[in-house]
Amino acid sequence: MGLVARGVSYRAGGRDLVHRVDLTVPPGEVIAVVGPNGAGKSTLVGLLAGDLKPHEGTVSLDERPIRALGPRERALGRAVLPQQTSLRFGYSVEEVVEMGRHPHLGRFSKISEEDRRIVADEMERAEVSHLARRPFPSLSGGESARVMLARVLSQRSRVLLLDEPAAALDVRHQALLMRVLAERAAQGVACLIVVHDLNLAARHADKIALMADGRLLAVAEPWTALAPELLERTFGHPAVVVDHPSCDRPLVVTAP
Amino acid sequence: MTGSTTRRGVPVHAALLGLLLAGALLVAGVFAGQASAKPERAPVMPTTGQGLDGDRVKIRSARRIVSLNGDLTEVIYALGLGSRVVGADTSTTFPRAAAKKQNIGYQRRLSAEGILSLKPTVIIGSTLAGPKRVLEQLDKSGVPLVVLPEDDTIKAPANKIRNVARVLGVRKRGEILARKMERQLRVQSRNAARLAKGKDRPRVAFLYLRGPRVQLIGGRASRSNTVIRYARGVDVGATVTNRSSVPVTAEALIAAQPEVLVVTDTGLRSVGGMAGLLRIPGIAQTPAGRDRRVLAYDDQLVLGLGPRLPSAIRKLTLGLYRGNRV
Amino acid sequence: MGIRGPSVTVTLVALLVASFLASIAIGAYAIPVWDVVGVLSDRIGLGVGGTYDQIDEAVIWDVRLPRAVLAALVGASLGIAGAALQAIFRNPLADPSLIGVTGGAAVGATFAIVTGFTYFGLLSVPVAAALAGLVATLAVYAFARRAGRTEVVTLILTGLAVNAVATAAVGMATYVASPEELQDIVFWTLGSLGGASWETVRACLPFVILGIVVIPLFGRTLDLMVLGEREAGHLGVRTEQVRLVLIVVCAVTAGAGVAVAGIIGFVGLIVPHIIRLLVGPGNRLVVPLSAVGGATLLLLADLAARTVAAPAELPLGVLTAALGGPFFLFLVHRTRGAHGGWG
Repeated sequence: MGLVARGVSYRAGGRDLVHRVDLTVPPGEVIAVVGPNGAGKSTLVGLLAGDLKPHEGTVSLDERPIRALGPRERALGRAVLPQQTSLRFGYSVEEVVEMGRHPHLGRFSKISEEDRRIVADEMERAEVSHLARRPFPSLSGGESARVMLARVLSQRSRVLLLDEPAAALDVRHQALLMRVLAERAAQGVACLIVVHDLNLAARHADKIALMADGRLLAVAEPWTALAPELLERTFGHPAVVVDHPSCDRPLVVTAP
Repeated sequence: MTGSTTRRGVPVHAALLGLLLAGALLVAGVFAGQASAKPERAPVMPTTGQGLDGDRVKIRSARRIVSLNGDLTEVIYALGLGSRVVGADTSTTFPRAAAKKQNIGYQRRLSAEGILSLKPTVIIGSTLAGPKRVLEQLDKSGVPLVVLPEDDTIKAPANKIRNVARVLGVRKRGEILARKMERQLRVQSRNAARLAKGKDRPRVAFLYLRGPRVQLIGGRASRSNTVIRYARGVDVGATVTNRSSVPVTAEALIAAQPEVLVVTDTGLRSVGGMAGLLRIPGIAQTPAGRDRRVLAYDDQLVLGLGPRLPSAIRKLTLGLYRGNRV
Repeated sequence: MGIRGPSVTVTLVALLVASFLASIAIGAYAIPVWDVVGVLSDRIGLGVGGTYDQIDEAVIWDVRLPRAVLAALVGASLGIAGAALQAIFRNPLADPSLIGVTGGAAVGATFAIVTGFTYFGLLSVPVAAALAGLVATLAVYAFARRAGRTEVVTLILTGLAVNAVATAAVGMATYVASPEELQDIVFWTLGSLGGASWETVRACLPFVILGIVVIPLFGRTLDLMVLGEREAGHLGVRTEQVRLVLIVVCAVTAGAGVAVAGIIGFVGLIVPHIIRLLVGPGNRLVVPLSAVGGATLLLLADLAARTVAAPAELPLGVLTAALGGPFFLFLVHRTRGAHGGWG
């Protein structure tokens, strides 16, 4: 069950952007993918989402090859939050979030009360309810990131793939994002999130996947994955790992 | 003639037959002469004319005329029916009064409703008028629409006069005018030949100008070619193209070595007069440009092939051989 | 914004009906309104009758009515195609010329004029224009497609290139044209409905109806396309398929309009913007209302074109561009003020 990648490779420009990756995102878990720039994280998300056709290996969603599913089935199975979204037309925040309900609607059926309730719920959860009537292009980076989160959440899929959604968020909203993911995981959703902030991953993820140069170096719970030598191998930069003062999680302190 | 044949021993009855024939011709001529001596006081209606796509149309009244082409407007005025013209196209430049009539747009961009709003009793145009669809709309309106054939030969003015006159119920006026015009044409042609005798014929180019960037040279099939030939000039445009006109480059113009340039008044105005013309690349480098030998005429005079063709030939001849400026 | 939808729709439809009636009632040729009613009622068999004569009847039935219908059809086709293309390309500046329809059609029309192509009678120029418009669009699409995917930027750049080639071809044709043909080409490129007849109406009606029926079916899908191609895919849209279908339908619809009316600028560009200003960006409303708005705008523009300089006519395309340009500037300015522009 969940999302499973087996021996997945993706090539472009004569080199492997993703090389023979095996990764399972099981229901009920939050997996954080970390790695340096150009490690192939976004490509991996693209492969897992079924956007890209792997040159080798397969990705399956609930035991069925994701590329064999129709777009709507895929959309019901997994939701994807891309790195950034530009929207040049003045849709209101509410309209944008409602788009997340599209896979659940019939071709000509209108949005139902149930859909509206879900949309309102997820806007509340992402703390964007007060922006409902605002045109999307007028929002700040952090606000639009939260709106997009609400949209992805309202898709109510079994798998959530988030590509660096935290970059534009302030500390409080970063924590909010991770709490929401944990909550979804508790409901049986499989979550994968690409993050840059190692400590955000350390504090909130069930497992951390380290990725460098298209390869997966480790997938493990935070204390194991964030070992100093593994971190240095991944990022090419030394780091010290200490106990977090207020929770039972590692705290990564990078060397100067 | 008959006398000489008799002397050679041709049977008498043949001679008699000849006499009879000659007599008949004479009588016919006298009748025709008498007929043309008394032109109509007013249009004799109804008449018929060739409509769109060759079908015949009946014209009941010539009280309100719309002319779709400038050359035909000129013919209508020459026939003395100018006061009946209620609308004319923008290519109408002569006479002055005609150019002041209601403007119905350019001859190839006509508007059906605009024309009909002038309440014409007859609409007269040539096959140059368009677009075709607008002509069809006019045809459907029930207002008689006459479409005369286009003709770019030396016979065009007389044909136009006779055709228009017939349609407008002044056949005899037309006949008189056409004959007078044909006579003048012969006179002017002879005059031109006399003036040109023993002289080198000047090389002439007709330039169609529309602003400093559009220069087309009149070719072998152009109306200007007819005028130039009859004025005993050498139309260098005819060596450039067999078509009616082509765009001409600075180099092609210099290579053609025209000694005289013929342009239209509106064309010359569009480039900013003589000074502007000489600034167009290539012009100043031609013999014509060097000697400032540029002749500008009213548009319809050189391009209309209308009733003023003899006058056009006379003016151009004098321009070419006497150095007259316009 | 959703609340304003119904009232705006009713107002726009009323405006369309009013402009249509005005187009039939007003013209260079003065006809009393009751005679207009008389002609129309007699023609559809109601037989109110009247004192009109044959010319009144011809002006109304053979000149004004087909012209008004054609103005509405062409305006609707340009408006709806503009709305759809702006969504597909996520580009507020998109219009039918972007995908090569206009450029291709111009080439087709110009060459038909210069070569004296008359195989389809009076419809030869429109047919040549429509075919060339479709071919150009498919060429743009084929060139922009790589490995089963189409990148929007590549598509736009390809469109630019094809338009440049088309402009060159038109220039080439004008270069060999006689002054009369040149006038015809200019006439076509300036746009006009002067040649409207029931024949031209019949020729373009099926294609315009195709667009008006098919494009609105994609209203919600277009909203998702605006969000982004990947995003739309993630939400269950077959993006590549939807795009191909819509581009072809837009090309056929707008191509038919351009073919019979020549190049009429700015309608496809500004109408969707005006509609968005009124009802927001949701394409389920913007798309059909752009058809209504485009029809209204072109009816009014053509009414002006044929009455202002009567008995002559102004070129319609020039009029729409002259009015559309300043309005578009205002729109850009306003949008920038409202929410930071279009990024």
